[in-house]
Amino acid sequence: MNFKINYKFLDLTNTPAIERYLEEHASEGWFIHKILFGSLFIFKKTEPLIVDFSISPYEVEDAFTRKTESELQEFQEVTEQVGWKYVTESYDLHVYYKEKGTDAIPLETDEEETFRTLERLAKKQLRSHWMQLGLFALLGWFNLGGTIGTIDFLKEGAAQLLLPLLVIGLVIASWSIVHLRSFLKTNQENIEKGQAIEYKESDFLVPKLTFFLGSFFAILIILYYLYMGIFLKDIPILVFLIVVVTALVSAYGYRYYVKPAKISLAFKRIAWFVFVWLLFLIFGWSTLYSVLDTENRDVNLSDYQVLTSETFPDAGFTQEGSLYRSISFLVPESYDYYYISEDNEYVETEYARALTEGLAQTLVKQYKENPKRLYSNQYNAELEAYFEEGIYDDYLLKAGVKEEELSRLKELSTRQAKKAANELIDERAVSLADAALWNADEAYFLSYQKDSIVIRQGKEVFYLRDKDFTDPVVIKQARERLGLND
Amino acid sequence: MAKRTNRSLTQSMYYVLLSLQEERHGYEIMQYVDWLTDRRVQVGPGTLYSLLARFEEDEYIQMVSTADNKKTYRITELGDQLLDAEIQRLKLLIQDAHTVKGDVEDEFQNQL
Repeated sequence: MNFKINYKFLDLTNTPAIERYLEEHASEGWFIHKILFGSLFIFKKTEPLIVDFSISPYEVEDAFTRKTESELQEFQEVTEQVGWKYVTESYDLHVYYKEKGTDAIPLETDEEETFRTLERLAKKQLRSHWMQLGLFALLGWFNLGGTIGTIDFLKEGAAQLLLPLLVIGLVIASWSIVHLRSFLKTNQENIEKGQAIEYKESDFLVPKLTFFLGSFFAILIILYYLYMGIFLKDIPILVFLIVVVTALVSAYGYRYYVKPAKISLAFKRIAWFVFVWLLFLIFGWSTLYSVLDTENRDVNLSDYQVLTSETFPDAGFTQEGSLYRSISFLVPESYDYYYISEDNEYVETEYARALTEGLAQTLVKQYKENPKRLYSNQYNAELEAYFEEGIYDDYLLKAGVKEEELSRLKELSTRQAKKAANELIDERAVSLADAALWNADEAYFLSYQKDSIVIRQGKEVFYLRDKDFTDPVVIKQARERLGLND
Repeated sequence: MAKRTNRSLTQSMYYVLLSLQEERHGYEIMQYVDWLTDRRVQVGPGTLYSLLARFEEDEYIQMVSTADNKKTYRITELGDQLLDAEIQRLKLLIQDAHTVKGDVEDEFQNQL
């Protein structure tokens, strides 16, 4: 092997330690080639070299600075003119070397000015870490706050992967803020006292560990989205992937091929426009078209344990719906399917095969919680009509609430009466079903009318909706279709 | 960081401003300071370009031209005022030193 990759950490606060580290490696015949993400150090095999390294902070061009590429080039040219050779850079830190003993003006000759540069760069980083912290907190709040442990969380791999990624993001952002602020505080005092900058000598376990874990989960989430988009043909995810890939490829393509080219600005703009459109046309449409073309869909319903229009042969006009598949760590296989029955009802099956029986039981518990969310507001209008105008709607009988029961609540305020009535509705929605009839380990009706049921057999969980699940014929036909027979 | 109009200049700041009495680009500034101080004071490229960026932002210097990746700068009126104030401060320091070291009669003892 003529190269090796070491795992280290370089930031504004530890440049002298890294300079020594690079010098030691060079003396052993490993010369630094690239530093990726400030953490992956790629060395190339060379003759042992006795050299001095110097890492100089210089702000590079980015979306938030006014620095330009030509300014950086001027800096690098002058640096080479005074005897230093450029090797690589990591964000705003530029790595130079010279043979030991050769005469060269040091890159940094004024401790106070070096601190000012470090301070400016650190403050820029701090702004981005604060934004990162806020963004991750918001993402966590909106996406995961109420979903941990729910059916969606158990079934969706993205949610399970996003959770550790958000935690890692919050940890590294918080750590970076504390770390940079302490560096600035210490050295502000040092500079005011006329002392030298105090750099860090730590092993940086927190950023190293979070970088490793963050990369691991980021790769997993990319693989997950690719699998969902390409193999399970999840169209929203596929469209998302196309947009992201097109944006990344075109941005990098422009950055590295179009922008540095010595051609006119008008030509660059046309090239950019053509480039993006070609990418979109070739990559985007070819993929999207193959998925949207339903003729090519490779879904054979007989491979899935779902109720279809053919499960109940006596049914009249029906219309098949669509299948949505998902994978996750906790529930490796799950899919939802519905068809529209002769009564214009959506007959739905949600199938899930959990990793363990315990997780399947958790899933059942969550389904039992579901009616509360489902029915809590469903009857609000009818309850309001009763408590405010005294009009009883028979629709309330579907929730098992009779007029005389509601009349007992009339002495309460409308708000309290509605709350009490909703509690009554929730209580009556869930009831124990005869699991033996379904050859299952447990079964619960999830609606008062018993047209919604959750069934668990081992690690498999079925949620069925919009059929009379007390009807022995329906039970028999459903059991056969779902493979719940002996 | 706030403009340091009320504080002394560092050696690098002083010589960079001094060298920009004439239009010069980065490498010329380094060579000029080298020559002027007989290599006693050296300004490294990291320090120099950090200073140039900050001075330009604070309007102590201004870019007058750019060609072949080389920006040429010159001191502004504001920069000149800063430099003059520093020179004045240094003169006073030297004058005080002469007084203490006996080159000039120390009238402090006579007053007592």
